[in-house]
Amino acid sequence: MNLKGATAIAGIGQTPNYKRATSPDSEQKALLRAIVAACEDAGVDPSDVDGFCSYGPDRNDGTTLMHGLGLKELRWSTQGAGGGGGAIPGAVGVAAAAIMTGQAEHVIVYRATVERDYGRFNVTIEQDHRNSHFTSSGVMVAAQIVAFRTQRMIETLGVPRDAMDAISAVDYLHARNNPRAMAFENTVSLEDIQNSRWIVEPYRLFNCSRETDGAAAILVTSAERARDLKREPIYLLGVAQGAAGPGGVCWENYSEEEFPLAGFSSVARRLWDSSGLTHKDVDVAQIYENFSGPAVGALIQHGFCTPETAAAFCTIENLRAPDGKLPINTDGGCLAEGFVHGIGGTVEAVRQLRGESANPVPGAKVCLVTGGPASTLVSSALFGTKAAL
Amino acid sequence: MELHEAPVIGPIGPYFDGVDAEYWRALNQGEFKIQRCAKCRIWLWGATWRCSACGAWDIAWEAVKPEGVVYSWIRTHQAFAPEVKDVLPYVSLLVALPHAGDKKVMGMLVGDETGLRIGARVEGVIQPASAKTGGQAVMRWRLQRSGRSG
Ligand SMILES: [Zn+2]
Repeated sequence: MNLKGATAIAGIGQTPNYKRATSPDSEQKALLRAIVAACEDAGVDPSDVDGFCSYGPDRNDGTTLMHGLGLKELRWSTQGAGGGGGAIPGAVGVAAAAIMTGQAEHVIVYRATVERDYGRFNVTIEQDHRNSHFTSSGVMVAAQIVAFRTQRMIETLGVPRDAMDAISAVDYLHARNNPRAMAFENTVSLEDIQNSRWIVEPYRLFNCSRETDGAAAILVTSAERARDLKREPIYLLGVAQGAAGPGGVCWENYSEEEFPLAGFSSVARRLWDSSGLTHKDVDVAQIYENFSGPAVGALIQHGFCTPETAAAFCTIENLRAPDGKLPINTDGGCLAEGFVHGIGGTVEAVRQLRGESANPVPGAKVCLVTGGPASTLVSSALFGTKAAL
Repeated sequence: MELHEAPVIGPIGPYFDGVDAEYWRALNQGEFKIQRCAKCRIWLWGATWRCSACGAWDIAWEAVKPEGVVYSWIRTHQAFAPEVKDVLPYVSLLVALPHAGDKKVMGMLVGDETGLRIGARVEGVIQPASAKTGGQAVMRWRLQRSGRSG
């Protein structure tokens, strides 16, 4: 069974991004709105949805959603487990597995975070047996955990911090043109980024994502079915999720190859091997950047640069739309568009390949999406237009 | 930050299932212990129920001389929890333990920060249980000074 081109995204739906804890809708209502919007975009009746896949600690599983959507039958209720937001876009691969094996037809991939209802989702670290070892050391948020890895990338691999600051700068540059972005029409410059206050060294304020209230949904179906629906299908060309062993949650003792970067060594290899594509085929990329340090690691591990060339590659000129070598985060990314646990990158991939991005890359056929850099589970996917098949 | 000022966040101690209970118990007795496979003798950290190298279930806890090398560090400026607001900014460490197969443990730096960098040598000192530490002894780390006594 060949995954490449077998399934496609037929619809996307997204609520507006709201500053955290200010959503007018409850989390579930916001999510229902996003799912219904994705169905309308595709031309599928919401009652015909039969599968769900979220990721991270989403509180809304398939059984909680089926009533509000009026589902005829629930056939697939799953979650990409582990690694915070790392399983997006791997969750699209979970949906594809269901569809390709005939276990479901219309699968919604989704994520919702409304802090009005539940408080800040990103404050406490993952709950496992190392929790007390962290909190006794004053460590309790993802920013701190990931900062340890970036510090070693900077100090030991010699990647200058300019590389990660350029990613922040290009995010803010792209957000200027995106009316959906929290930082729409901002004037944040590279200098502002490099002079912003420390949050946790080596991260300054603008190296960190902004928690956002909102919800997004992606309708995945078979390529055959998608071709009968309203929108031009955006095909799944390849996907991989996971982590290199040993390690798992014990990231403090990851290998020297993995620790300073972003966790993609095995995932990137499988992504390229299974899709038959290389980084040279990628026209545009949505690089999940919970913090901009591990985004540099993701670019290195997907082959776009090396630690030695990262500073020369990661510049505003190279990473901006429409004319950069590899335009990234064309919606403004997690830093400047909004952070609904990273699902925005996959939605933007679809917009970009449809030619509907606020920062279009003319003629883009292949978009890479990477999820959850430096989380304990990561994933990557390649999406493409018909021309990429 | 001096040793007696070092805070912890929230309640700390053994995980509910007991996998690392001996680590915390030993600290309260003044010993720093790390897991080691009783069969193949590989050092293991974080705590585990089964040896990741040979599959043995018999995992020992061995006292380790608390000396290490800074593997990575961060300096926290934001009060992510009320317990730390009086000690900002503070440094947290990952310490590689040469006496335990270079396994890395997380910790907090106390004392002078001069010379902090990856590769700097540190020594462990146990902060006795107090109200500040939630009633649990905690391992802290100081940068080693050449010629420093004690
Ligand atoms: Zn063993």
